[in-house]
Amino acid sequence: MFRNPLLLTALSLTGAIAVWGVVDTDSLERFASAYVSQQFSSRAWFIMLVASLVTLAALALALSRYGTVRLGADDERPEFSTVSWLTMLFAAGMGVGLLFFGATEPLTHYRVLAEHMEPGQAANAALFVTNFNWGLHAWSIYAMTALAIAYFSYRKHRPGLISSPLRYAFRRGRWVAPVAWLSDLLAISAIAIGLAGSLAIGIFQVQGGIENLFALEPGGNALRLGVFAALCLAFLLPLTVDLSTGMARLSNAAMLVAGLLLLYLLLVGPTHYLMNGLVDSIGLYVSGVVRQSFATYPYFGETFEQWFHGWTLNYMVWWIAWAPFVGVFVARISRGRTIREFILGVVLVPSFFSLCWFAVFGGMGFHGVLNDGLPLVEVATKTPESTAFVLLEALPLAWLTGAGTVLAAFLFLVTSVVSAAYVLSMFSTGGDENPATRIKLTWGVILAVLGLAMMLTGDLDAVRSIIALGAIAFVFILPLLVVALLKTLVREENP
Amino acid sequence: MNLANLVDTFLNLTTFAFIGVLVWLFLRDEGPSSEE
Repeated sequence: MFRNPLLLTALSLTGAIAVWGVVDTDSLERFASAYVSQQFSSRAWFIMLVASLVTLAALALALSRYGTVRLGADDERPEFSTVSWLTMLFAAGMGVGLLFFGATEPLTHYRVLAEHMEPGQAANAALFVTNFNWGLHAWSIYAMTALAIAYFSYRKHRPGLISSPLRYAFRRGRWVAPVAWLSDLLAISAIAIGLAGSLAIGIFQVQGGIENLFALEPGGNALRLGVFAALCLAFLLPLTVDLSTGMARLSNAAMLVAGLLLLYLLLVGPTHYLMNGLVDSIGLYVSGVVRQSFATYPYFGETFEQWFHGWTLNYMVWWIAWAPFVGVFVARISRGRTIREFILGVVLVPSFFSLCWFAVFGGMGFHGVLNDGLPLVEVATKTPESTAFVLLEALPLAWLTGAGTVLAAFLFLVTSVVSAAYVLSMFSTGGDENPATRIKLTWGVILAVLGLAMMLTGDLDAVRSIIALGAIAFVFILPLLVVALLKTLVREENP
Repeated sequence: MNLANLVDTFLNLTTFAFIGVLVWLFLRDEGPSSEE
């Protein structure tokens, strides 16, 4: 363990940030916010360009003649049926984020936009921006990263690492080895910090749920630490024994609860209103996606610039941070598929699912605000973690659905921390598919401390700045991966 | 030109250079394939 320089550097780097965050939360928060705001103001155009060009590249590749290239030997066939493959893709994307932001995000955008337009228009625009943030771009970033990992692993027999495409495609030059090494390191820190951020957000969500269910005073630190401790206990055990099938079951259970919740809201809530919203948002998305892909709001003043940096830009960086993690998982379940079915499946199906999710949760939020006069916008601003629960209270069986949301959030968190500890161990040991338990445990502990540091900020914006801090450098690795993939396809495949 | 402006110019210059490197990497000849 101590003879591996990558592992040691990665552990020291993420460990140092974790300790910094726990010892002096404020200074980490200030540093992250200043650094990220400088990077965002200077490089917003580049981040949007990367996200949009990666999306274009994914769609173009699916439609090109390289679409028939198989991720594996030419005679290989997919390991999983298409239905169970698509279900597993949902599970990868249906993280705790959707539960948290389902109603909160559209309502937060609405608050900003309603100051500049009519309520109906503001609701439309808010839902559109939310769908844009969670739609094709997110999944194209995942798809291209996963494709690079899958292609070089299963067709070129290289280790499933972020550096493998670079080492394979760019062979000449002394710079390749250090850049490849650095890309593994950046992937590791982006995953660790990104996952810890998600952990903190998930803990806020579980806490908000428990507070609502038992009518407790919001924002209690003791409860937050209690949830954190329960979570640590829940994920440290599975790291010591091999429970991969158990983890898959837990993740499926979480997904099932989330799916039932969606269905319940749709059927018990104002069904026709939500369905109208869904169809409406499909139209808005399709007609606006190209413009929005290149929108950087240079002439709208500081309020809009900050809103754009805090949401869309932050999300793009967030997806890039998550891409190596989701990429490894998606690559693993996609062996034997052609590039075309891979991209169409990974990009279109989950994007459509997100659209449905926000149409229902966001639609419920707007119904509450516009028709029932509920103070949901204030709730989404002051206690974003409670929005979903306040929304559920308007429907029958609120206690049951609230408890279901808390349970799903908790299960999502446990499974994602366990999988992240596994992927981090794999990446930091040169692609070892069965990393030693002590390495997995070390990563588990680092994730927990990083999560604790982010949780101590107690503030969603601070958590997002710290995530961006870990991920921003990876914005430069993603285009390198895409170029390595495209170059190798053009050079070595002749479909 | 103040410091913030200088930093901004520097960050953008490195981004331009990076885009140049990407194009160069895509176009350059890597020599014989390493396929076994």
